[in-house]
Amino acid sequence: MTPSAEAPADRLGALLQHRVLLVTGKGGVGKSTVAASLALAAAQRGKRVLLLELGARSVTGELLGARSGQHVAQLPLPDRFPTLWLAHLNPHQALKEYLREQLKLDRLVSLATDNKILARLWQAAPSINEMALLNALLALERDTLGDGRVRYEQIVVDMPATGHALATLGTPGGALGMIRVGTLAERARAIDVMLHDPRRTAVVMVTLAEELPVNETVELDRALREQLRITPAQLIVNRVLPEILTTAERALVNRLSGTEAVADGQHLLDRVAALEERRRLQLSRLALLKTRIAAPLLEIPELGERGPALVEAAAASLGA
Amino acid sequence: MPSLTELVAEREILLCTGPGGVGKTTTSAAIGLMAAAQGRKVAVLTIDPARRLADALGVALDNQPRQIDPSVFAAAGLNVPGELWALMLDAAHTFDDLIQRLAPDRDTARRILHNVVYTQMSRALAGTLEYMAVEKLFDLRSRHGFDLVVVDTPPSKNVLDFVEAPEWLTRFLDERVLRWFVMFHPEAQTHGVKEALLKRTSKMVFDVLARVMGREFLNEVIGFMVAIEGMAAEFRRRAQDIQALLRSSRASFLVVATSDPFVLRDAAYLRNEILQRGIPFGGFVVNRVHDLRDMPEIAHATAVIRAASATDPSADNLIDKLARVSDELGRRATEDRNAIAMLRVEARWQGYIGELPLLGEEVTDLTGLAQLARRLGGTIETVEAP
Repeated sequence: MTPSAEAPADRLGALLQHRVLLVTGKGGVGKSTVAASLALAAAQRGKRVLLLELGARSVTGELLGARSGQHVAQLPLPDRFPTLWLAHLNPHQALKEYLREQLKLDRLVSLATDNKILARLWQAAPSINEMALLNALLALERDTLGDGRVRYEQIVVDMPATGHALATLGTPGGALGMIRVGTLAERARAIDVMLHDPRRTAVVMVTLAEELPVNETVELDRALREQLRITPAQLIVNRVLPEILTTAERALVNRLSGTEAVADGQHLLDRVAALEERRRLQLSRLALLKTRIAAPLLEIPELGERGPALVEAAAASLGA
Repeated sequence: MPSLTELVAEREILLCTGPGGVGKTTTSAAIGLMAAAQGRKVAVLTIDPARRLADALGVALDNQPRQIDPSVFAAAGLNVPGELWALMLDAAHTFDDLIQRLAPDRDTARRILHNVVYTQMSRALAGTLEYMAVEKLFDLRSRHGFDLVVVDTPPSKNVLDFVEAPEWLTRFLDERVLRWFVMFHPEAQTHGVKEALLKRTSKMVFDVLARVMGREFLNEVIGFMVAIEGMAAEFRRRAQDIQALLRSSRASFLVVATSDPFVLRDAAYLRNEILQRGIPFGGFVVNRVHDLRDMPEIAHATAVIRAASATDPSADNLIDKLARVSDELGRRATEDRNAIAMLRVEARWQGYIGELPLLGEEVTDLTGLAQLARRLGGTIETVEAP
């Protein structure tokens, strides 16, 4: 079966076979909503799921109607989704843990973090925060329960927007270009292996069927493949407008439009015509995406919801 | 409190901040056009490649300011007595240019440009974009004599990323940090008892670093620090100048958002952050607002369409759908109105809030841009197109 002939539920099932999903896209395309709905879809299939957010502030917690925690709060959302956990990784905390792991001894960690000069270096040194965040992700991927089973069967990461996501994913490779020996190099290699193993990790690109996001997504796809040697596993087009009029209704609108008799109602016909025109443009952009991007495509329609209701509706439309 | 038109007339720098995907680039371009229509010489510094818009303006965007040919305005029937220039930031090139300009000699410049720490920092590092946008701003002001620079800042949920960007590098290039590393250079001479003592106590910290990063990399760091040490003072001076400028009454920050409640909450957060830091704030621009100002009565409109449809079998369904679309748009318009009222409360802001209507498509021509500029309060006279 070709990917395009796949039913959404089958495609979603295949996507959820990758353990770590890295969700990115241009700012404003609904990347956090899509990440939350993928996590929800996995939880509804009975998996133990972690929805992981990187960066200084949390938004996905609000999307799911939960209060956000601090560093790896691993907040369960107990009432309705007992197997869905939410974590927010703060770079400063991640760095401390990273150093603890590298240096083993607490005395050395405080030496490294309390020293005024090094504290400045950690704040400014190239890519150290990105590295610490990815390192924390690797630790979460390796985390196990008491009985040896993995703690999280699915980890969905709400990555930063396109440019910053590319920079983040390139950090281990960049570090390996500079450092070949030492514990940092070993760690960078382990992270890079995880990012490049399709069984463990998949990059999900989110876009809208609008001009600028589509252009940026085509660029992102190319940069991932050519600069980072990562083949994106999934493209999700968010907020696709539904069809409004049937052919007969459209014919009627065309026949009436511009006539003297409907002058007072013309603005109403114009509104619908404008929506139809937007949908027509969206369809042409979907077609363009299919020719330019090899990754299979899933659509989420414009849903007119917000917050947790939006996340649930989006998950349902993906075939959850 | 000044309107946007007044800010555009009086300020030397306007910075459009806001989360990603809210239309900052288009808004910045519209503000640029407003200023040029007032007669100012204005540059719009953008981060995003808004190619179609640039094509429509007949300008190839690169790292140097390019003037939009006045004949383009005339052809669109717009009276624009000032000058509109545009450029798109190339962070890596801007950084290389800066190193070449500030390095004491070519050899030092070459050593820095080939150092792996530098290439990583200038090419891949998150934060470089912000820092170089500020550097470019500095350059545009000091070398090109613009009356106004409009900056389309990199998308951010945190305005400090941008304002504090110059500090970011100077923190790295802090004198004490530099001297500390330079001390461990194999050819470094130890000066005096105090430094000898410092070196001895620092040795353990240095060994910790070496364990984390590997000695090979640490040597590259030291090489970079040694090469750049002589330029650090100039970096710091520029950072201080631009910091002072961004906080002065010559600059103003605008927060761009959409009517989505989540985005507006981010916008209110940005505004409060700006307020706390004593950074000059000019107001909000809210994009993609559902606006029913020109929407007459639905009942009458549907009645007219029904009468004109006569016996067409699709008429009933069509009228239903028109009513539903209209209801939905009405509902969204009310939501947007409430959300913007909420923004005033949350951000405690009585000043300027510009609203731009939801358009079907991105604005990609001058006529569309002029309409946006007018919606923001600008005056752009039309002239007879030749």
